[in-house]
Amino acid sequence: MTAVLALFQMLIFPGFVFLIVLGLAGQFVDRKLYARLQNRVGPPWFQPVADFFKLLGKETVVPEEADSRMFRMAPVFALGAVIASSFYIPLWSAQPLFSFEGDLIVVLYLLLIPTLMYFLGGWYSRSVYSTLGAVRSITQLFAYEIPLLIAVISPALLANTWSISGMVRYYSAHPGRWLFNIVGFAVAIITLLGKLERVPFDIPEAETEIVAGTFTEYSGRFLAFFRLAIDTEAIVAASLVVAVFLPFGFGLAPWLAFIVYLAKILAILAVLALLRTVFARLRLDQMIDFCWKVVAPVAFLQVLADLVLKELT
Amino acid sequence: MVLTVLGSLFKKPATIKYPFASFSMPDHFRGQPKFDSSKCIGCRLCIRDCPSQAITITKVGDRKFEASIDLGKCVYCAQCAETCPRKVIEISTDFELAQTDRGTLKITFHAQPASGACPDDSAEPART
Repeated sequence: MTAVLALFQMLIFPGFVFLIVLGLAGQFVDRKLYARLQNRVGPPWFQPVADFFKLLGKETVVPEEADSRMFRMAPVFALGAVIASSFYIPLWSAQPLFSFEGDLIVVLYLLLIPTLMYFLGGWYSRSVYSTLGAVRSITQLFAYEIPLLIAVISPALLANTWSISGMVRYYSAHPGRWLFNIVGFAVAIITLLGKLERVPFDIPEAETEIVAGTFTEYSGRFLAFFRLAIDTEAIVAASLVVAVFLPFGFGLAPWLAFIVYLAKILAILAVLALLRTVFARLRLDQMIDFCWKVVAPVAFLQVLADLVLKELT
Repeated sequence: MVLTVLGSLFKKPATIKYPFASFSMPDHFRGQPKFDSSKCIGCRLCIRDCPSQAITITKVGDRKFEASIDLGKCVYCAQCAETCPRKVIEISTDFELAQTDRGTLKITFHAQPASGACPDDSAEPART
């Protein structure tokens, strides 16, 4: 792969620009569905783009008390980590941009960084509301991250490989075996809600309680990039869940596989929007209880099932 | 509840796209007060009862009275209409009364020279 082609793929398609466009489109789909499910009209298709440019044009206020460097770097790191993690996820072809044995773990670690950046950005804002939001964000991380990791690892156990593209190849070679991981898929969807800080797990940004939580002191272009990071993280995390748990349709013609990929992402976003409409916000301790007492044991059961199946096949 | 929520996807939204779509207020909605000078007897009970002193009555001739209502001061409580012994003041359902200049909010209902029942057409704030 020549350097120019690699650069194009990383920066334009299916890298940086494409993911940002998809992220903004995903935000629109989420907001429109959320509105229509509540009998409202919802925003026009260009609303997320308009919001992004509006925020870019607003005055950027850095609080005097805040650590200026961390305050400014946090959004950039968050967006960068999200984009970097997308390079290893097979989107619609079985071969992603880069792959190696163990890239599943690397992707999971890279997707941890945005949450860390929400914490650091809020912590270094030195404001009461930001600190509360940041601490809640990190506490929530301890609740959902373990079940998510366990659930995502179980299909890898069955496929006997630690590379996502290897898993896709295995499940494409043995069609129908991905149905064994349906329980893990449910666990992944629930913990995805926690990772993306969506209702019912949106305590870190509980608008009615702590203004804007982590992002209270953020304005202007830093807030624009934080929001862009959140939207893109939704797409990339959904892509990971789709690649690991719904690994079908990768062998089709490229344009057909692309449409299948978009349909899968749309389905995940629709489920997230429906759960957002129907549920109320959980308290932090309720969320941790639920994740450790219900979700984690179910994830362990999925691992057990996959280990047993590996012996049987 | 999930079924109700999913059903909302296939129904028209409940939003009225005001101001591009118009709609009317219910019958007893308290909007702008309108004054019929042909029936006024000049008792000035409306002035006594107005909580914000928004209405003034001026005598312009024998048994002819003019009313001037400041729509900025009016709280649209309809007490003047309730108190009036001859039911001269009628409360319409008009609510689009916003103006950019506070002076244009004072409207005057002139006395008709002949026995016309409708108030002066100029006794409406200009539609901006």
